[in-house]
Amino acid sequence: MKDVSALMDGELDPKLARSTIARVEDQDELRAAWATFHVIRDTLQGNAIGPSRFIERFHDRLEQEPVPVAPRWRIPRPGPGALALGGAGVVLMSALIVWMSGAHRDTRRPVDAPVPVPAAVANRLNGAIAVEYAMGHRQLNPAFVVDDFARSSEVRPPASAQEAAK
Amino acid sequence: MSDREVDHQLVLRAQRGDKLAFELLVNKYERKLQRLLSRLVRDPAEVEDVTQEAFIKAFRALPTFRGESAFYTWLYRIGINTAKNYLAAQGRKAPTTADIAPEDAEEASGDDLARDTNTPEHEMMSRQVAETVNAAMDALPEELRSAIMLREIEGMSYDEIAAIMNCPIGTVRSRIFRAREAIAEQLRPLLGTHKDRRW
Repeated sequence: MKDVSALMDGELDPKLARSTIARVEDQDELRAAWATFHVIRDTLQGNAIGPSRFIERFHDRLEQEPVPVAPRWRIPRPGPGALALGGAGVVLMSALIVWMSGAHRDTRRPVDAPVPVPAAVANRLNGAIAVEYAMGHRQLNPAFVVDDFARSSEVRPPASAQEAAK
Repeated sequence: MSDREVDHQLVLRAQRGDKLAFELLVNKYERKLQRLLSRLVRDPAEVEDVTQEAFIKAFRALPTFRGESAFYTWLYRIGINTAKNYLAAQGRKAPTTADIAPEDAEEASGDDLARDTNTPEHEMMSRQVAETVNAAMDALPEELRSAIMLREIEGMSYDEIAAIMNCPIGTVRSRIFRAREAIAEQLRPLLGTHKDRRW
């Protein structure tokens, strides 16, 4: 009952206050103390009202009342099942959006795909790589003639460079 | 946990369907609300009915209470509206004091209530309660009487009382509790409550 007294003064730490509230609800003796202590407070503050059956009458009325639907002030944390369902929903929705937009038929290149190289350029690049490779390994093949190999490839300086050389 | 936070905890519990938590709030504010509404609705029996109705409306409206104001401020508005609607339904006009602010209502003296709910029976019972409490107060040892007066009449915190009485907070807590217990012991026969009974 000492805790009830401190509770009504707002002088309990939150944890003890919550457990005391629960005990007041559970125990008749503590509920009686809560009620009587408030009568004392109101009387000392000049609000004396004679004994009445107010709370008993109210209790009877409240019994008839349906429980009000409480608001959801906090977003509930989803459980594992809800997460799995949510994930499946996202996948299904994404698939549906892709299908509806015709993206499944889209042949456009994805952003990260390698850039296709035109055949002529590819040949020139391959030739350059081959020249580099042969130059690096020419000591292993004394019969190797770099110029002939180079001429056999399509590696040529750009036309603008040739004109500039002239 | 402050007084307002205690109310908020009780409201949260009531919002989850805990009717007992709401009854604790009714227990706490029934006299205060009756005193307020008695300034609008003069007949004592009507005051009690309108107060009951106001509490029921508050219970039904609990889902809309978000704790932005104190519970009593919110209850006060519901009480005033209930009283005005009650008077309007009877073709009566609410007195202009209906527009008093909650803090003004707090300042109304107990004499106002006694006058407003002035039937011989009510007056006698109210006087009996007041006399019993006063007699019990007079019989208290000085340190208990000072502690409870500083708390209930001056509205001081335990910290402030401890500073004034030059004692630890635990002692203040104990003295206030013992004072309440001693007064409650005298009051129980009058209120028809016992330690082991519901109210």
